[in-house]
Amino acid sequence: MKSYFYAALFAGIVMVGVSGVARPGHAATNNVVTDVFSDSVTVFGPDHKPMGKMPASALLHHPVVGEDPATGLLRIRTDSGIVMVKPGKVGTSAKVELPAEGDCRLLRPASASREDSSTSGLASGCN
Amino acid sequence: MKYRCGFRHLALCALASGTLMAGQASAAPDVPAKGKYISVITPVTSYPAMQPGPQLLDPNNKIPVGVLSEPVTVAYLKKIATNLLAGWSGARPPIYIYIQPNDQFTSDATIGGTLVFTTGILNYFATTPGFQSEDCMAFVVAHELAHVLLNHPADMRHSKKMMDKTNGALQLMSIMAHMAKYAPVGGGAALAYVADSALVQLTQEYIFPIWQRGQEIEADTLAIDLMARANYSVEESLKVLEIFKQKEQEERAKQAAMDRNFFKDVLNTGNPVTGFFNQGIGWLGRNVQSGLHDIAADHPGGGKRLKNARNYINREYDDQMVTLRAAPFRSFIAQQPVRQLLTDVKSLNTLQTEALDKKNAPSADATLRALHDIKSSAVQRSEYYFYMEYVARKEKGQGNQMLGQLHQAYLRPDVTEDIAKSYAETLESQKQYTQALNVYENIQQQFGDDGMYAYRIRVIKKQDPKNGNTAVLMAKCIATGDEAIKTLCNDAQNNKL
Repeated sequence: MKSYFYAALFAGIVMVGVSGVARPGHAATNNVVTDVFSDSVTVFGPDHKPMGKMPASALLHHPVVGEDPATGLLRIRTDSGIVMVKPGKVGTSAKVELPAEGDCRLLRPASASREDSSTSGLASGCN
Repeated sequence: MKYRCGFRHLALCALASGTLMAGQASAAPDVPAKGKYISVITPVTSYPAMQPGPQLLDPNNKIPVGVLSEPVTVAYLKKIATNLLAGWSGARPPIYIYIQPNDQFTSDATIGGTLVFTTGILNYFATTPGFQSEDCMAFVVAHELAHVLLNHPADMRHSKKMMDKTNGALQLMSIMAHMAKYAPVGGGAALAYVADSALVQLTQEYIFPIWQRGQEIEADTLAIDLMARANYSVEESLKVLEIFKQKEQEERAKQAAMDRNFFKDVLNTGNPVTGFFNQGIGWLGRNVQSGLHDIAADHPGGGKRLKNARNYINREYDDQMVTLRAAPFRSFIAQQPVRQLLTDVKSLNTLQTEALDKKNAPSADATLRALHDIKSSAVQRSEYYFYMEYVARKEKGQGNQMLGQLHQAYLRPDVTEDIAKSYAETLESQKQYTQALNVYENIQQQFGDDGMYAYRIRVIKKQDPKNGNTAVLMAKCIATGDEAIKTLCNDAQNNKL
């Protein structure tokens, strides 16, 4: 039974390797898995269905070669081929393009009085 | 009985009141250690129905850029909000959505419950390939929507009132302490400790933001629940939070670089002892400031938010597998009105930035020519555009001719405080004192700006230089306890405003 499972997993891994599409931002060289957050990780096949689990440690320091455009799953090249895992399962060294700063002077309040600028914003911004 | 109060008691009082305020303000439960957050929330039965107007947009209308409404963009964001709200079993708050012509990567839920998204955030998603899905945008919308659903803006309104009251009390203590310092008997020395109003600053900057930071985690978590129910990919929220984490890392790296240069700078001063002393103060200042900023920041660190969201998703949504909605987002950003909006806002902001740099400030004619090139009708209709046009025309000596347009702009629900003040000042310059007084008073009420006491004093003194009674306004002005406002009122009283 176990041998059938690994055979299916291997076949899936091969298919993932040939069917995935690299997306900008995650296909950059030097983008490797730097962290894992559990002992084992679910691996997904080209049909985006779970194929089984593999030890998370098998992903560490391996390159992230792209992102599945349909689901956002990360494609990671392991010793046994390319696998797809959920992005939340691993930390990577990928650098995102940071948003431009903008000029905080444009957001200066008109009022001369004290202004409590704390808001329920997504980020602190110019506060 | 003579009441004596030492600094220790004052500090305890202040901290206790801060804790009390935090307790009163927090309406939403904590994120549970097990199970979905949305399932433990007891939704409020109704939300305050506020009419469109300055209070609904506060504080986004207190800055010259204000907000604008581009129909295609607002409709798209509203569609996302509606999708997200479908998974909410409680009462539905009225949803108002505005765009802020601001290059910053941020968004906001105002005290009035309006969702505000900057052109900076739209532009980032529109131009950064890895983020071009409706799912990324949905996280931003869901985060702000979650603040509204959890009643955070109402809490904040309550908190602001509490803070104002606390400030007033602390200012009063400060005045008493100042008097006690010079009193011949009593615990003057201890009370004088707070005379510099440091406690006021402490309360404003450190106690309130600590409470607010918990709200950000709550909003992130509820946003993930709403996304899941609307069938958006919750994992895309991690991408957005990764931006904040990396931004935080970049800022820390800059700080570390400054610290590395510290010892180099010390050696370069020639006299290491003096150098260490001089540079050391800077180093200490930077690190103390940085440490305090971490305490004071009104948002938790990006790394912490990412970790919380990731743990929650891995715990509660491990089985989610959905197709990203890339096509609807790409279709949205490809639309001409959206592209024109983003292009034109960049032009306006560049123009305004140049205007702030006195050396390179464009002439009034150059500004008017640049404004003429703006094509987006949403931008042309904005208060921001009108304000820039007004400033340029005023510079050309045509300000008084724009009274009618100022009046129209003042009547709009999205009027900015700058425009309202410009209207009042123009009335004042045309000696229409009664009307000017009414407008200043209205600004004070609508924008909650007590600085208007000073302008009202100025107008009363102009209206009747000999008998104009400003005593009541002056007393109210002092009672605000705000140093900047008190200075303004004094200037107005002495004809220096």
